[in-house]
Amino acid sequence: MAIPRPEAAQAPRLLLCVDDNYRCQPRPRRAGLALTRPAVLDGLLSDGPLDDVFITAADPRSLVSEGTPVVLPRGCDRLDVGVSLVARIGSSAEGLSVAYSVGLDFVRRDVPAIQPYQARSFPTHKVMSAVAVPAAGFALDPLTELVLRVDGETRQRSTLAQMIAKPAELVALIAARCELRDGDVVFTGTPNGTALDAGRGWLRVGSVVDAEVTGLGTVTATVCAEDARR
Amino acid sequence: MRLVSFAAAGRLRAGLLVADRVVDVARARPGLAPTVSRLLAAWDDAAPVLLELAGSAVARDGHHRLADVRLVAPLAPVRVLGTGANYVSHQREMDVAAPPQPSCFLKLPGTVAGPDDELRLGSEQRCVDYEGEIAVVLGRPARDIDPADATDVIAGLMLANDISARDVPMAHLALGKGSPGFCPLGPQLVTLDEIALDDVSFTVTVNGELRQQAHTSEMSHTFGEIVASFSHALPLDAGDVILTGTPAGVGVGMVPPRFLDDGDTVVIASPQLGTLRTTVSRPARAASPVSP
Repeated sequence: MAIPRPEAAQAPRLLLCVDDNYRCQPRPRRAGLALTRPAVLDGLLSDGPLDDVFITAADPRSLVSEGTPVVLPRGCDRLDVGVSLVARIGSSAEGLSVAYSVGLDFVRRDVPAIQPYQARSFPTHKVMSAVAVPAAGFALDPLTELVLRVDGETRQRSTLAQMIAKPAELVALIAARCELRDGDVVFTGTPNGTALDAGRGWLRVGSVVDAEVTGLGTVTATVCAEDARR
Repeated sequence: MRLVSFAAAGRLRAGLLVADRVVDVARARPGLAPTVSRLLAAWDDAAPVLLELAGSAVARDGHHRLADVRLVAPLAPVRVLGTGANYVSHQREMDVAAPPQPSCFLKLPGTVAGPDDELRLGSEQRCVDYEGEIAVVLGRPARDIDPADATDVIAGLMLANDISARDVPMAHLALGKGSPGFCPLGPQLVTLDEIALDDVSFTVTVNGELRQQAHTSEMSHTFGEIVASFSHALPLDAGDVILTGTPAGVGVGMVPPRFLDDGDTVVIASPQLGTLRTTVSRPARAASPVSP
């Protein structure tokens, strides 16, 4: 099918994705980063507690609403997915506010890990549930469960107790460097159990993915093929 | 052609730069879109009209003197991508290997600034560096193209400064390159009828001191190879901007490192692409970061 893409005006201004943010998650990116970090930078870095939590930008127009088919790119033989608690930035009289949704974070594992923008930015590869629960109405209970199923098989089952940087910490970290505005979106990471972790189970055309976060609801997506036309 | 953007009566306007005159393109040819971004969105139709306009009497007379208009970034891109370590000299300076394929990152929305804009640093931003670069601007969508076909989708080139905070962990690279004002662009978009992609050079000075000097022949990956590589991973759009890497001479590569500070002026100058100037300021009391 042709690739569904929201107009820029309908997309969030800023879409960030967090990785390596669950203690239970293997950390494949660290090795790649160590190889690419120039030694001249060593003396400038403070080795803060969140330095290894990976924050990357994804294309805002990769975000679609539930019900939009997720496109398997031509030539991609390793499409992966994880469930994510999504922090949706809003504004209030006191400043920025946060509401939560359930997200599906599709990632191309055929793209080298040192290319996170390209791996995470294909159109339709970020899916977000329509329901947004204000932070005031959603306690970040450590026992809150995140579950992901592919074709009915449970792939991920974890809790927020495993989360390293909580949404408020992430928002503060990002806002210290960048301008966050009403409508911006942060996918806050995914626990272990992805196809990358298992080394199998890559998504195919027709795969049905559904995710649930206790108290926030569910989100579902179906994988389809990219149009063969150039 | 040399396309610029300028503000007139509170609105953004596309201009054609001819010598020291600026032609308001939508005023001269009412069928044309009034902004460069919208011209690029319909580039196949707009380019021939602009070429005709560039050779007309209207262009010679112009609507404004260049000195009388305030230029802003040549376009308001939806997406600014960048590639790193693309000059051999910079690879040596940073002691990194040449990437087998062009790396790709996103400059965050809100980073774009115009020529002669001021870069305002917060009090905590102490390791901010310049990176003089050439930016490719696309005039057509691209998906799975070959490098040899890239000239079909490239509208032109302009100068860019990929400003970067060096004290940000590599895992937060997007944030280190994503502060407001960290992507000055301009002063003009020079289209392919007026420029050879393999023969562009530029220098970077800070307060008049030469820091960087480069020619496109020193790039590891050509403009065409970068665009083609990016198009294999993602669909690219008309109006996308791609920063193509910086040569040796960045502040972090010096011993000891030398970063930008209040009062510094960075000038990126190219015989083919013009001059992009950024002045740095650091207010005595910077605003506090926003709290969630």
